[in-house]
Amino acid sequence: MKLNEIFLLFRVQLLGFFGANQTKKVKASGGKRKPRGFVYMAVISALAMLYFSTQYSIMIAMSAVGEGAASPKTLPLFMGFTCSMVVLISTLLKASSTLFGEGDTDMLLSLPVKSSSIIASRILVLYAMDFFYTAALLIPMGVVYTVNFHPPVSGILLFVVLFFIVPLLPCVLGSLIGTLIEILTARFGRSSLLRNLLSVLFFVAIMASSFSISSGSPERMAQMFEKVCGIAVKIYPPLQWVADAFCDGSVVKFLLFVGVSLAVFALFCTVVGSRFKQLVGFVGAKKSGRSYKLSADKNGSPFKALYRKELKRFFTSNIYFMNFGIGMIMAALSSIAAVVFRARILEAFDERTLLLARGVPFLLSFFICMSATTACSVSLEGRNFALLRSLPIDAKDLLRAKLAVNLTVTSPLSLLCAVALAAAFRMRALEVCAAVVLPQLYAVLSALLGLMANLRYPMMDWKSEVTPVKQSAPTFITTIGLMPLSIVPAILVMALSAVYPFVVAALAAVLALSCALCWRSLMKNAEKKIRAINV
Amino acid sequence: MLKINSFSKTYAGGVKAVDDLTLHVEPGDIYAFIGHNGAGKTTTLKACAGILDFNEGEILIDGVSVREDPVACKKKIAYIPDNPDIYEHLTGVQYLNFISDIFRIPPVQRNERITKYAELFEIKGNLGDVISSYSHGMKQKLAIISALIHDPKLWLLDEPFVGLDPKATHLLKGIMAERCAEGCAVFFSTHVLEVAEKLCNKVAIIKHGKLMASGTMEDVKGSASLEEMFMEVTENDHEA
Repeated sequence: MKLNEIFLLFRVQLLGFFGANQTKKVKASGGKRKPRGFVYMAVISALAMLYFSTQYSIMIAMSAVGEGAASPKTLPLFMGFTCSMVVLISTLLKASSTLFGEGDTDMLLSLPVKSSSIIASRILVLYAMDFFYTAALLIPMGVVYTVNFHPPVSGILLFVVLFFIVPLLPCVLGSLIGTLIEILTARFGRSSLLRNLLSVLFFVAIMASSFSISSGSPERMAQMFEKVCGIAVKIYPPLQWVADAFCDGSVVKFLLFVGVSLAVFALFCTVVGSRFKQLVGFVGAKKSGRSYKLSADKNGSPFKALYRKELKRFFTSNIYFMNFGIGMIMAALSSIAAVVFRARILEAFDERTLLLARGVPFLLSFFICMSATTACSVSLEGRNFALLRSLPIDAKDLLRAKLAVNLTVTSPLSLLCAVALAAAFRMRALEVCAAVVLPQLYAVLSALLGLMANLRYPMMDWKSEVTPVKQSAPTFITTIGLMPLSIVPAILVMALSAVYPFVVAALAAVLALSCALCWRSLMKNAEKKIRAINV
Repeated sequence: MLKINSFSKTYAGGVKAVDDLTLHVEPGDIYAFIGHNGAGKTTTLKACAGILDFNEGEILIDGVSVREDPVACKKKIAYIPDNPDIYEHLTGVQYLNFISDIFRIPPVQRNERITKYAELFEIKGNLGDVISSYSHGMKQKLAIISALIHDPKLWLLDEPFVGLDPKATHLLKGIMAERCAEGCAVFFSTHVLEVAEKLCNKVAIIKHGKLMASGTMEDVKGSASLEEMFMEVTENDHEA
């Protein structure tokens, strides 16, 4: 493993982030290519995330720590744990395709670079992808802590370095789990389904443990945060070293954390690097030798064929499935949890069960907005899009199939969740109607907006699925941009609870009208938009 | 230059792609590797380039084992895949500089070589464009230039003529001959038998992973054409 090799390989990958190099070069040559709206949206999203993270840090500092009910270290411990979990999950989702599935693997393996350097550069790519979350979570925490609790100057200086190191360990751990899942599932023919299942199980385990932490009916928030931090440190002891280094300026704990992080990183790169070729071959190997029998019962309309292709694409791509399926998995888990812990939740909300019932459609809509599979469904066609376009397919059918798959993912499950939550919280007819109808409208609107964003900013020249799924403008715009669509109306409904039926009806009308307008625009210009995509 | 001894490769699915292949490429050789689709050509070339791990046999490049010291071997070779998977987000010159950095080519030398070959292949004016805007042929030309920058002793080329225009094809053939005259070697797969017959001094024919015939062009094809010989060998399973 050589540092200059790692740097070279990493730099080349970094130039591809969000199409930055293309944008720069096309702009330099006088061409026009770029999504200016994407840049604005990215800046607004970053500012919004920083704002919410800051508010959250202040809330912890004031409500928990400021009252003296918990140790000041609760703040860095809690935010450090949140950051580590986010990085761990995010890395896990991308690990397999980034470490072993990149299109440049053959080219890199033919160059005189060590395999461990290739692995190291790819882990750094994963690390860089998650840096946004790290910055959004840790910078506000650092500032809030410094202002409120005045750590020693040495602690602040150590924190500046730690800020860059904190995500490394969860990133390596996520890569390790992703690699193990890949090895386990590659042995089976239907590995993609099994991989999705294992990823979901892992995610459920994390969610379940988080729920068990927060459902301990703490009487005060301070106690809850401290309880969470106590468990977090037990699960992940290096967090304590980070907090000690920052809060007390402990150089020993700082060196311990940095040393362990770098050692684990180097060890992973060396071990996986030594088996890299075998792993790439193993992961890329497909079962063969089965005698395939041609059956005549699979015929159908072009729309059906496109729908089947699209659905298969969703379920066989782990990164695609986990990135856009996670919202609905969370919706399902939340609903199950609500049914199981119904009594405890109702007791906690006491007089405010109506508030709880009215929040249900927006909670479901929030999860639905995380599940706009259409946001990268066009980009995921990649180079194959040229072939698809050469076929006698109606452009409208092509778009309808993508929308239908998105609705297949979101619509039935959100309906089931609404029914389960309505039963659990004994909702009244009006609230039940809202819980059933509003999420369905959100499902249609998010699918339409996602598709429109993707048609506006398609990214067809990718080498790895991670690029269109995680690093493309439409995904970013859709995921971040759709969130306020469910949050703002929720605030509005809560604020105007006196005229709840009117607000819900107005919201439903606005959503339905928006859906109709988007649908009309998409279908009217379908052929033109499809033709405009450069492959 | 390249010694492949009893090389076998079985994929995880249980398919034996190459079976007990032995073949030697000497300095100065332009060695054609021909066979049907799926015969094992790419697998062999990838194993020689250190891309693919293999189960049995030994591959030596300039006396060094690909398995034992892959990095040392890769410094001496250049590999061009059948479908040039080049970073599409980079510009042509960024990619060439990346390869030059990997091979530690000094700036003066790299500029000299990039200019020379980019002019020869007529893509100098496009080097500032992003690779995603290149045609297949231009990508192939860029891959060829990147394979010439570090002056490799051995060229491993998988279908190098696919996508090239007639002028670039002519140029590439000239460069191959020129480099072999200087003591380097070229081992390449192709389906264009006429080119192989005219350009190469040696040829190997592979079928279902087994070597069916190998040696000098004259010895392998005799008085027949290479095409006739290829059809006979691959259809009748005759051992050479």
